Amino acid sequence: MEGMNLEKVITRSGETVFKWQGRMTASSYDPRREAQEWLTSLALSMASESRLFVLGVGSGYHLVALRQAFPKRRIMAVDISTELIEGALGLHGSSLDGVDLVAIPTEAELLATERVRNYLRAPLQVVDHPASQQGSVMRYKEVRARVLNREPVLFADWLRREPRFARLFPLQAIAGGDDGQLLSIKDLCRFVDTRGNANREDVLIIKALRELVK
Amino acid sequence: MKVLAVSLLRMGDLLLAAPSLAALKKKHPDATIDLLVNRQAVQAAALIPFVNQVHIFERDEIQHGLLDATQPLMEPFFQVETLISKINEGDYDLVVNLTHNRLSGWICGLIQAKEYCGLVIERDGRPQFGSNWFRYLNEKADQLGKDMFHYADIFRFALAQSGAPVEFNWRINPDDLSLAAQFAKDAGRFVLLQPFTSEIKKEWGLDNWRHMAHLLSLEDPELKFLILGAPNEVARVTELVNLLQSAGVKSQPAITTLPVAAALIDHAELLITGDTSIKHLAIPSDCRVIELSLGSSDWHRTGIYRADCYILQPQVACAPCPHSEPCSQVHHACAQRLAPDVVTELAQVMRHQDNSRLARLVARLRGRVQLLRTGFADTGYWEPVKEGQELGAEELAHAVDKLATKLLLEGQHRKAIGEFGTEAVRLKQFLGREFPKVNSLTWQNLYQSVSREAERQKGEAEQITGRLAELVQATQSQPVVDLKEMRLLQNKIGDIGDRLEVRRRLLRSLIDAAEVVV
Repeated sequence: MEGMNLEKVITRSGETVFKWQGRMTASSYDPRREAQEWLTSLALSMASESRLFVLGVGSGYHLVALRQAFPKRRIMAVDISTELIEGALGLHGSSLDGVDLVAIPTEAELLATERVRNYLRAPLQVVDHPASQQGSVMRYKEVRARVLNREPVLFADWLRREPRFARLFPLQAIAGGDDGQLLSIKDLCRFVDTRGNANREDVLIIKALRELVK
Repeated sequence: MKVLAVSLLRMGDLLLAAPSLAALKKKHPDATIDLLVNRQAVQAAALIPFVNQVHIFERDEIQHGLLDATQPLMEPFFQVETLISKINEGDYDLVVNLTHNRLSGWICGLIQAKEYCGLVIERDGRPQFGSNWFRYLNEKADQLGKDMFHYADIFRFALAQSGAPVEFNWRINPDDLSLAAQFAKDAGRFVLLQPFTSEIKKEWGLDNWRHMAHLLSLEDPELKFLILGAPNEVARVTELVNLLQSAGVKSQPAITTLPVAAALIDHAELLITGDTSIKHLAIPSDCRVIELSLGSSDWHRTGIYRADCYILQPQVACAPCPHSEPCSQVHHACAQRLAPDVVTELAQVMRHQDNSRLARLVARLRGRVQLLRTGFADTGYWEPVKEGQELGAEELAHAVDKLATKLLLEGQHRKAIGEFGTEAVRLKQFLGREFPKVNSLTWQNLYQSVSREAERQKGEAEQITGRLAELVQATQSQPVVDLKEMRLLQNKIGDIGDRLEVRRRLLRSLIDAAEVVV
């Protein structure tokens, strides 16, 4: 399991955690307690059915905690390192059952992965795990921006892969937007092409949302 | 039959829709009725006895997502899509929109069903109403304070039934019933007060409540006052209780859930309330109610939907004021005009059924505060009567107009045999009962006066229709005006013509029913 970049470390509490490229991906004292504290800090709604999208697999303890707290919610976690994903699976085994782990070496590959694209087409909560992102914060930031999809250039790129939504939002209008300004639904409501060949249902949803931002 | 009722406003609006759902259930006993409501109304939804399943529109969560730049852009879109997809698994026969705003119109457009009743907006923005009653509601939407049908009647007539309302009871579990019973037993004889509303300008003011209760307790020192409030109103309720107790008035807080409040109402001697959802909780109860209609409260549309209750409406020019805008007056004029001893006096009239006391109160209130006794006309709709009001030509015209509207919306004028005769008899019975002092000569004069006015209006409408038809013809070859607009106007005038024809036929039936020679 250990590779060039991956190193095993035994914590004070007797658990195993990973060092990735020389940086710890979980607490060297008590990774399980750290995971619980992280979970509490998120204050995720128990009632929500939104899928969870976790940025960073790291040593996987936070994913185990998440799975135990929300046994029925869909969870996908991405990491830039295939080694870390394999390491977490090896370490936690069935405790990570049902958690979809995906290696995304670069942010551009996020949308290139169909499994991830499908997962993102549903109500979603994006969750950061800072410890897992040590040393690669900027790359995770880029992945995050891709998932949030609020930068006009990134949204336009997403539209190119989503013909259904490309019929709803004219690509030229989106791509020509100000890169410094993040998009909002209010902006999309202005762009939406209601007379074209967009799905009737998609048009009605946008119009309903527009009533909520008035 | 599978029905989905959509109510995306507040808890009180959902409770007010319960009578219409009861009527629908009576008309279709085998129907299952599901609801789509905002999360805040879920507790109210659970109270409605014939509701099967409740879908939740997470308005706050979706709205938060629309504004939160740390969430994915398309998140709200997918939330709505997922909800609609789940709802459409229900395979509904009928979708009823009891909300009547644009949001609900778009949402109902997304829900698949064989039939729709209420506002549905299509992709191109065209509204469909599914019923003349909802079309009427749409036309009257902006006419605050004007005579129109109560919302509960509009829903009821649109859905099911034009007779008297159907009786029903809230669905309350045995634990809550026991809790309320124990509360009531510990309190002894009590009056329930609901002083706090959703808008500060609908409130009467703590000092007025204190004064009213103090006066009432002077006449009946053993009477207790229970102050209703939600868990987030603890501080305000406690403040009022302390005020009352310092004035020597027996009182205690009643911070409780909606089901327990509903059960508690049944044990009270009287409920005195502002325009709140608590008022609507009293609909199936026998407990008598005094409603204080202040601020933006519009009793015409949302008054206590019960018989034998009273509404106090201070006569100020600004009433009802628009929702969600601050009071336009330097002082809270409507609240100031409603003196505490007036409410006390009315409470005593109701508790002791003292008609002589009522007559004195009515004389005192003339020109200052309207005192409306609620009830249902024999024609089926909610029709409060102003105490002390004489029946004049204007009042008769109003009564005829309202019934004519109902007959028009039901399309009675298009039937081979319309219900004019039957309904006229019912109206005559109602007016005769409410205004017993009116003699036959007065009736005759009243009918003549109203008939003449109706004929005059009919003549005018015919002239305008004719003129418009000429204009449309003339401009077809050389369009100089908006033809579409002219045709709409022509249709509207045509509607007026229908209305006047219904009015004329109804008046004729009324005259026949009264056996008056005109």
